[in-house]
Amino acid sequence: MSHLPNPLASNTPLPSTAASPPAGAVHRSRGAHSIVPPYLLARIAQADAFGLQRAAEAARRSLLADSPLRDERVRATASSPATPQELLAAAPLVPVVDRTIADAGNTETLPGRLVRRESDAPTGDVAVNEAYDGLGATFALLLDAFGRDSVDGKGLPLEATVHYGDDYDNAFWDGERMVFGDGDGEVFGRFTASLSVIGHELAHGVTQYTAGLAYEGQSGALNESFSDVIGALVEQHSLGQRADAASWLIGEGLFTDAVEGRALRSMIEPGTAYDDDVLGKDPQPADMAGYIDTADDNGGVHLNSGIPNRAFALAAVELGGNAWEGVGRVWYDTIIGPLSPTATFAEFADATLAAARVRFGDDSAELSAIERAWSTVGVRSDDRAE
Amino acid sequence: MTEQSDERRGGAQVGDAPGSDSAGDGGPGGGSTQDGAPGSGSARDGAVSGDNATGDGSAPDDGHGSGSVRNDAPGSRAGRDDGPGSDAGGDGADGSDSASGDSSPGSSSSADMPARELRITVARTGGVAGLRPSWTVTASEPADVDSWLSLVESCPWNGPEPVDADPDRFVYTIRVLQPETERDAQVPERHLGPWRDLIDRVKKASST
Repeated sequence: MSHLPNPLASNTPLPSTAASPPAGAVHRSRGAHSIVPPYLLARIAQADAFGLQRAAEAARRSLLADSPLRDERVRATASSPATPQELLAAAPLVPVVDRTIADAGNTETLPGRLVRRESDAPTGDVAVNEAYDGLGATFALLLDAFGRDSVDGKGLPLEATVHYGDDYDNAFWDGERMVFGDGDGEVFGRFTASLSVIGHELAHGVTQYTAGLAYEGQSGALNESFSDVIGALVEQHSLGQRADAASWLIGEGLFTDAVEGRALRSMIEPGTAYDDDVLGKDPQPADMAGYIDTADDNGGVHLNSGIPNRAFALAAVELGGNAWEGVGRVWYDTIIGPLSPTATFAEFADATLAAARVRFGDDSAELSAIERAWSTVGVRSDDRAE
Repeated sequence: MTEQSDERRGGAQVGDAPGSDSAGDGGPGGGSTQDGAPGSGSARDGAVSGDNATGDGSAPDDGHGSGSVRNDAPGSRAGRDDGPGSDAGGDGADGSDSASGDSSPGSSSSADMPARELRITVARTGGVAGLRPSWTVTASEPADVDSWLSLVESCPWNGPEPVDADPDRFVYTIRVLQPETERDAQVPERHLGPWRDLIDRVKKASST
């Protein structure tokens, strides 16, 4: 395994992050992103070869117009006395994804052996490549749709470990990295196979860095639901798929052929994703009448998430178009707050309505679609409004 | 899908107690007792499906992790058996018990059990899939019971209650039923360490 530097950076002929900046200058010790002068944007815009389609598109757009993020950074830089390096650093910034994939070799030891770094060519291991591409697709959604620079908003390098554990039937975000099992081969295949699951897990990282929704009860179900929302949006965004053409399935393709089921969950029709003689029937409720009180699963976080999931999908389908531009944008605005970490469904619903008003206006189709959707699933935000 | 996963998540088994390499354990009444032991049907039926069904979830909590209260579970089969050890073999030979049993692993009380019987159920919740598989072993042969018990005793039953839940990680619920006692613990995957041997052995014994 070679440790090649990012070719985009290594070919930079002028000082950038590689130079030692004075105190106060922009400095990225982990290579989370580069400070990219305009002449390099053209190179990034051609980076599709590295599987960075969306980042490349973002770079192309940046060549044409200032993004909000870019304005922000230019302002930040301009607010302090400039040194020559800072003047260089004041060149427009484009966040660049920085992925690292490791292989746990079917142990539970993290991080495992490094097998693919950013811009390395694909390996012969499909799990490695799916993880790499999935991290890239999630990064691209966050940046392209929300102007968010990675999971933490500050260019966090995206790290993942594949082949975790023995017949391990799960994928999770451990607070720092994504971890994927290979599945047991009977019920589940490899967990990298679903882009929506990769997006789901990374979104737990986004929630961790933003609303910090407590993983218990209704706030936990909202935490789960936001991860499903982002998982679905990552898939739709990477396919260029409109809301009314989307499957709204989470975890499609994870089950083996032996299982009677399409996916882990259906956002548009909770409770219908699978019906199998061994797994049983998908237990998710579709509205508050079916809300499940249980002590298991941190208070049913994977069950009751069906309710806000359906609200999102209903509103998105009603609006049509790209879900990440309408309802998705509202949900993202909601999660970055202000929102209580112990928010209930009703509080979250209120927050989405407030966010929709700010983003799209009091008379917007977005606002009325979201209001209707919460009502359909039995979460009446107006119960709380005084 | 049926056989593979049924087998994998199957119900009670005997003869695979820790340290015992005898597959058959031909002790008197051994196999039949296991099959018919209260809860063995629940282990099979409830492996995933019963507990994962909406009905189960919406029902009151069946007592998982609620401490060691005996004989209070809904659907308790107390009264079916005349007493410890009675009719164990016959009960076991009657396959219909399994079918008619309830589907909750916590539904049978330790009071129903033969004097030396030991039942261990491991249920797993969480995970991105939100499924709820469970595994159960039952032992009645003294050597097997002792062997399992020593493994059970090696676990930190009085350890500190773990707090912070990790998104999408597994949480294991371990329940050990004996005629006079019931022990429960909830263990997040992150803190599995001292429990791993017991959990792995229950899974393995349950699937052989």
